[in-house]
Amino acid sequence: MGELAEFFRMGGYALYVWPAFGISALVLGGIVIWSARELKQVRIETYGKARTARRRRT
Amino acid sequence: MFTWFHRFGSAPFVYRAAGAVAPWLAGGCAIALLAGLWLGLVVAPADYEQGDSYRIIYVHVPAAWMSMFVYTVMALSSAVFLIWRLKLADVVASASAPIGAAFTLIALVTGSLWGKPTWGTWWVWDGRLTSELLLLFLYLGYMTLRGAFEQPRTAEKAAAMLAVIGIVNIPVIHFSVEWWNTLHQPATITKIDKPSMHISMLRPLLLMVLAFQLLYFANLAVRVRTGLLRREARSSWVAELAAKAAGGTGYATSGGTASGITASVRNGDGSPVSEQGAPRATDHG
Repeated sequence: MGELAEFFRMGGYALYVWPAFGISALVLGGIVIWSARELKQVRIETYGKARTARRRRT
Repeated sequence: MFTWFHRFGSAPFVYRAAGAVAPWLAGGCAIALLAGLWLGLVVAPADYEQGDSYRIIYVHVPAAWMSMFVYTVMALSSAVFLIWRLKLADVVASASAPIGAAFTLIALVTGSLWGKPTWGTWWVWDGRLTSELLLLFLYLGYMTLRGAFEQPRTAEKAAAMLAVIGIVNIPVIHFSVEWWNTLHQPATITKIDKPSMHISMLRPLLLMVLAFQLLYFANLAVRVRTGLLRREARSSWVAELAAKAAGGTGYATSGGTASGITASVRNGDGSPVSEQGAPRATDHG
């Protein structure tokens, strides 16, 4: 068996090891992307509102 | 002292500082993560008893540790918010909740995936597992409470109180393995005098703990900025940022490009337009 195949086999525990790392990556990656998008969205909305308010004042 | 506190606790300062440190934290996290994964999955030898299944430790232990660390931050800043009415403390607490919940979920799921080959069961109602599950419910309860009231001020207070009360669960999680000696094994790393792990296995674990820690702080920086913008939407410093963004200096530079902000398209008048078609700034005031 190739070295890489041996690595992915994880000594017979592939079914437990890889899902553990996969789910962790998915959850953490998800929260990082969600947070970045949320900031971008909120920034666009708040800036828009702030500008409108300023224009009304002047 | 108080001027220092005023300056460094002020919203615009924190907003800027968080934007400045976020990319460094994220970069450090990426390096520690890659090194930890390489050393943990490839270099470290298999365990003589558990074979390769023990490698789950490299996500399970950092996630479990962070689930308690983040909760402690959340509870302490909630207490500060309740006692001194410091809004920033509430922003930190509410920004921490989702990532804390994420770490708790990971600790539970990876623990289950480790328990099956090691103990022969996905789940058992032992002290450690049950108190960690309770921690997840505390996080979820906190987030639900924040959205449950019409008055945001009431919601903030109620959620902060829940966070403070829930801190009693943290020592319970920590000592559970000693109080109820069931399936879950006692601590491995904290025995400094006589570490029960070989250095080749311990080093990647510490790197992964560092990576998760940096990930939390990087994410916290981004989420705190979001929280500050939401909370202070009507304040003058946000108006200034908005004005600067509309002017020639550029939209992304005013707040830092770190937090995943890509280049933005502009309208004719210079107002930023969302790539996702978000509501654009109204031109007719």
